[in-house]
Amino acid sequence: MAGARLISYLSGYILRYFLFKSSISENIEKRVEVSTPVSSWKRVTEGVHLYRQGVSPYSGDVFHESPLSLLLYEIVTRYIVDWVSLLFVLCDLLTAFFLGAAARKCGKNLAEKESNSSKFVAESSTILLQDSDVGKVALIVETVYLLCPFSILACVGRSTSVFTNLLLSLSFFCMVYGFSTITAVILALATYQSFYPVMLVVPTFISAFENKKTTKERVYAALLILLIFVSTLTSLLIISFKVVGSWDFLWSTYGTIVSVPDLTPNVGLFWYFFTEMFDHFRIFFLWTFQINAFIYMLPLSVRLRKEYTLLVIILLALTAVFKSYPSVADTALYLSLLPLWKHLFPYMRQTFIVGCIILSCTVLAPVLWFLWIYPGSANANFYFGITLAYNTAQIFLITDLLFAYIKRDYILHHGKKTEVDGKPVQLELR
Amino acid sequence: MDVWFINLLISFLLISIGHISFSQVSNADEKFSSFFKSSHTNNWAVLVCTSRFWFNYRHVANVLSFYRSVKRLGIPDSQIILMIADEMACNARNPRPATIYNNAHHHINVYGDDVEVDYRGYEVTVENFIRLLTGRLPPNTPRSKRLLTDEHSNILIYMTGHGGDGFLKFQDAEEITNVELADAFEQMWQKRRYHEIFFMIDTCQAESMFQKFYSPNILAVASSRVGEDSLSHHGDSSIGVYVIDRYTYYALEFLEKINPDSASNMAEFLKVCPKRVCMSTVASRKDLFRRDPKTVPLTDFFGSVRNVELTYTTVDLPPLSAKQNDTNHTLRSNKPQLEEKQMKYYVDQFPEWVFKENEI
Amino acid sequence: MGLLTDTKEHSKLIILFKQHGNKLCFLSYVVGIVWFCLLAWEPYNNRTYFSENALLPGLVQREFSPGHETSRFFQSLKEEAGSHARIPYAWLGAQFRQMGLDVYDHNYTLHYPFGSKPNFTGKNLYAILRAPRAASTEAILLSVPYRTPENQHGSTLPGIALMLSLAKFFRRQLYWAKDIIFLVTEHELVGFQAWLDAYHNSKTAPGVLDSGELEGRSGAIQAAINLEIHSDKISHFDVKIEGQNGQLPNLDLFNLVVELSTRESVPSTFHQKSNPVESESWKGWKQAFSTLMSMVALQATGLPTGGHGLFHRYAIQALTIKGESNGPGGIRASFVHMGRVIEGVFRSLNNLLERFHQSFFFYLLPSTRRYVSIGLYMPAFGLIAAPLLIKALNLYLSLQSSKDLDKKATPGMENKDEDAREETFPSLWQALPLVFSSHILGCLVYLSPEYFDRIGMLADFQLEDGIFMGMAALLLAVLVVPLFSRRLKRCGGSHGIYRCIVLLELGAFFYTLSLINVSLATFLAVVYVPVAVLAGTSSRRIFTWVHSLLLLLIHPLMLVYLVLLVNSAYLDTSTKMVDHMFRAYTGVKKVVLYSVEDWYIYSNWNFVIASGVLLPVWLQLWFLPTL
Repeated sequence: MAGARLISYLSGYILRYFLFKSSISENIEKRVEVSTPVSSWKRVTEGVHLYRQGVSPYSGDVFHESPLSLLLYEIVTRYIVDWVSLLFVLCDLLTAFFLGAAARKCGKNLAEKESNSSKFVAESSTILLQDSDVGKVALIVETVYLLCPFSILACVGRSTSVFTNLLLSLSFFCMVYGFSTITAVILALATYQSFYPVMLVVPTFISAFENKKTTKERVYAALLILLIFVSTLTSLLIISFKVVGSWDFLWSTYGTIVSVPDLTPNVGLFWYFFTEMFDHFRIFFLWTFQINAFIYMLPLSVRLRKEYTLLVIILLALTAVFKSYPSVADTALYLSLLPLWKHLFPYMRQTFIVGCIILSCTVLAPVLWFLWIYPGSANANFYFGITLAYNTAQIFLITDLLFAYIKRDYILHHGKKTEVDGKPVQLELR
Repeated sequence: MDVWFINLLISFLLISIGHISFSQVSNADEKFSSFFKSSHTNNWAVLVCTSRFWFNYRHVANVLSFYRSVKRLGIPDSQIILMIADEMACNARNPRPATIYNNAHHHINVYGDDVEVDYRGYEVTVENFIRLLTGRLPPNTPRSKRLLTDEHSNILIYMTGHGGDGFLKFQDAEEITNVELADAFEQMWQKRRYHEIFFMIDTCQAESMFQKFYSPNILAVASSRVGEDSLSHHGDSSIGVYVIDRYTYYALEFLEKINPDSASNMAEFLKVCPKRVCMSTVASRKDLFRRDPKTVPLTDFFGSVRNVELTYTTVDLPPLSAKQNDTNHTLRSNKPQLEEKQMKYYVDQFPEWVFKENEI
Repeated sequence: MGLLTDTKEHSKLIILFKQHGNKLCFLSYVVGIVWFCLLAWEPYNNRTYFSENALLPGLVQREFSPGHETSRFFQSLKEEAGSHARIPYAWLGAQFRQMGLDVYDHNYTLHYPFGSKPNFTGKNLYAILRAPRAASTEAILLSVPYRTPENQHGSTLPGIALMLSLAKFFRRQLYWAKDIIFLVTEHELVGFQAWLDAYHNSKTAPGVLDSGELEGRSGAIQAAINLEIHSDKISHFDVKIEGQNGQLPNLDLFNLVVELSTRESVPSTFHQKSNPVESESWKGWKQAFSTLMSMVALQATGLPTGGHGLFHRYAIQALTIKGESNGPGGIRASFVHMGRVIEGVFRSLNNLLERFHQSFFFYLLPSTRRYVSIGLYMPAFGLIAAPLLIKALNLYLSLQSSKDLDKKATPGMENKDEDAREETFPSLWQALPLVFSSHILGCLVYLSPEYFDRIGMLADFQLEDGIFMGMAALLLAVLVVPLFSRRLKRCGGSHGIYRCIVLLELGAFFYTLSLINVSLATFLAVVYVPVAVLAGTSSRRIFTWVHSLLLLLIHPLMLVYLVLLVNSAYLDTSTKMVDHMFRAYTGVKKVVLYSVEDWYIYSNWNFVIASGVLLPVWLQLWFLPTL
């Protein structure tokens, strides 16, 4: 086990290192699937340069990182300018480590919960989780994150989503281990950087409720987490204000994420819609799209209140599909957490189709981008078709996972009936 | 008894003389009133070319040809609104710069030296066109860009460009629908901005543009029916574009024979360009027009009516060698005295009074 | 979401699909090929038409009448070419300058990446005619690659004389709305690539092609016409459109040239074939089909058929007009007619307001007046490559059902269920090492040319031998591994997952390639699909041996060899087969070298496709029986 872990870490490191050193790293950095206007390293260097010159990097349309990130990048580029790639690789390795550790603990929790549950039917003992699986699962999670082409591309393309992924994996780690206050702090950091992780406050509540039985304790815990989250966030914003000297960074960072002024193509759904629509509908559609990104949090938290880890994965996946500037880094994060639920895979029906669609989209996207931009033989519709198919595949994956969870839950509680009155029967979702 | 008979005779004579003189006077009145039977007092023309780009040369040539005809028949430039969406004369592709021809053989330069384009280039938009028709223009619009018609104005409206079923394309970026146009005309009617309108349109599926009209006193003609295309007539191989459309070509051919005192009527004009030469069916709309087109002279729309003032005072024209002062004096003495005019000043170019106040 | 619910109809469909999968594959493949062949037949394709209204082709009277001027230019040019080793820059420059054009030189250097790494310098000459009343925002280009009469491809001096004459005529006209650039390149394609790189400030081959700086520029180039006129009196115009990586110019440009040639009574041909006379008959189909196949063959090579092929990447629509005097109809046109055709083309291009965007970019031409659009040939291609997906789906479904079967057969026994439970996911894991290692090998082959070249230099090999020998050695070493492996057993489901992955990979590759270069995709699909689908279907020894032989035949290098062999035998029926085979062998070495060169200098994707995708897939297919 330890040997396999070492191999996967080593291969992840070697792959990233060699790709950084090769000539295609520049090309990867330019790819729109990897770097978006809010996560591009080129814009970071531009913003840092402006900051050093004394000009506010938020005055133009170039820089969209938060002020404390700006400070951090400024220090990084000043002292370790030759080793920035090493920083990215280390962050990726750390992310994998935290994900693996979280997966281990999470797997153990799940196995324990299932073996202790008294509601299950006897015959379903065959499909319960075993402790022996747990170590393997953690290894798979780490390996997937280290060797997934998406995360490698994000790392080599120097997307700042790498740092967001680190923060998110750290928060997941703390959530699973029960350190809810620290989770709140880290979530505040992640929200401060990229806004959408605010949705993960709800699973934090649920994880904090684990050990607390009475409503009063729960309410206190929830209030405490909320208080810590809000105060951390506010203090971060105030410090940012002090650093930059004015509040105009709010428009450049959260304003950009929410109001989507920059319509550079990416793997998301926003850009094409907003280039095509009429101006006087823009605000309406902006509200619709942004509410759509957040609304699923409510029903899903209610349904999955017993299983907050699945909720985290689903929310991460929905963020990757519906956020305003997604990239492949977001997909890499939740894809690597999927093996945690591999006991659901036998109940999933569409893995083949989803896999095929994602494979074909990954291959076709650069080709259609080339045909659109360089010879002009294709146009924006082709590229948008690919991103649409890609997002549809991800939605299929999410819904399939949810259905598999429900199916397995049912079988655990009621046993698998293959025949009723002699006729073969099948499960239906209503 | 003799006295009674003589009285009767004299009164009879007097009565008959009175009657005869009265009838003479009423004849004069009749002649007088017959002068203004159509009851319009001024003519306006709105000529619109809605398409841009070099290969739509013929639309600009169409409009300018009509401009020339209308000007020749008497409507002055001050009462013509000419809207041209793109300049063809100065286009870099024009091998004969500063000219626009509508005919490959005769080479009439319809652009000439004295063309006055009121709305040019990107000013030709749907919004500007409707504002022009309805009169709802911003207060600083110059006079040449306003349609200053009243309830006695006859307006000739000619539109050409690319059209479709129910719409006309403006500038390749927007469209005016037949409903919008009908509503604009209704606004004009309600604001008493026209007496009669003659609406001509030369585009593909042009009939659809007048199908929605519902205001009175509109006579409309279109170069093609719904579902038909209006075709161009011929191309000029030295310039390399099509120079005129079929309907406009034959309409102009008809108009060339018309003089300001011509007796042709509108019914003849509506029959111009039969299907065998036009390839498309010319459609017209007469139901909103209260007069019979056969009784309407062509010059009611294409020519210009001038106001005539009859005066009975004599005017002494002094000899040319007289001094300036005397002339003025003589002339002025025959004029009726005007009221004392108020002195009017130009507004200060620079509002110095603002600063003067602050100084205090 | 109907897809999520389990329905009875769903499973019925699956059962039907599994039963008839193989028949479906075969049917799809055959129907696809037949459809593709039928596309050449007139009822199944469309007549060409002009989509761009602004062109107004042929509407304007062409007025080019040079008298004897062009012949005088031609005579002087022949003398100058005779007395100069390279392009007579001084004389040409002086001629252009006299007409009032802006003349510029363009120097570039090619650092050849292999062998003794020699440096080649070149100098292009170009002149810009500024539009008299426009702002130089757009330009159209007329280019001629410089070839003297000693060149094996024929002299292009008449083309340059015509260009000079046209330049003089164009200069006198008022109606140009775009600048006209007249370009004479040295060293053929390298010159074109260097000029384009310098014009657009891009670096296609950093470190290899140093494209220098341009002193004078115009605006965005809308279209380019390349002339290769070999004689002052020609019999026909051959229009060449195939560009690099299978890109084609907009169909409107092709239609424009053909239309104007027709109006000036210059016969126009496509791939040296004129339109079939009786189009709906068998004879007509044969001629159209042979034209179509010529186009498919040339497009599949991914090499540009003329200098115009390098323009397409910059969104410049370009084609080459080749004028030859040895056509079947005899001499039909002289400088006047040729000049008028080009004048007409340029007048129409002058009318354009936007880039070409209306007409097709993806098409196949069975003749000069008919075209096959992407909507017609894509379904045919889709059917040819569909067996890959059908078989993959079939395999996946059978894997699923075998897992379910295992589960059902032994209820209540924990161990078996654990294995069954882990069946799909870990077996995917099992398949990955093979995929991974074959791709690593492909990457190694991609990175190898420089190293093999260095080794070859040390061992004093010829240039093409070094690279070719190295690659062949590497591949042979890998190939013989299965011979030493005794493990020819088949392991139930796990064999299936390998096949599934290979088929999916190949399918994704073919469909993607069809969007770029449909001819290459069709050719490879026709060859690879049967072999890939039949891989591992039977475990009998004889079958495995026959299949391996077939697989050897479709190895990328072997394919190249066979194509060259067939081509050589077809073109030259007099020599013996042995000679042809030897010729093909030397040809393969050259092809490998050229494809690597083309990748380094022009970014031609043949080498990347062959080493990065085709080779790994082939290796996976090769190693299948050993798993």
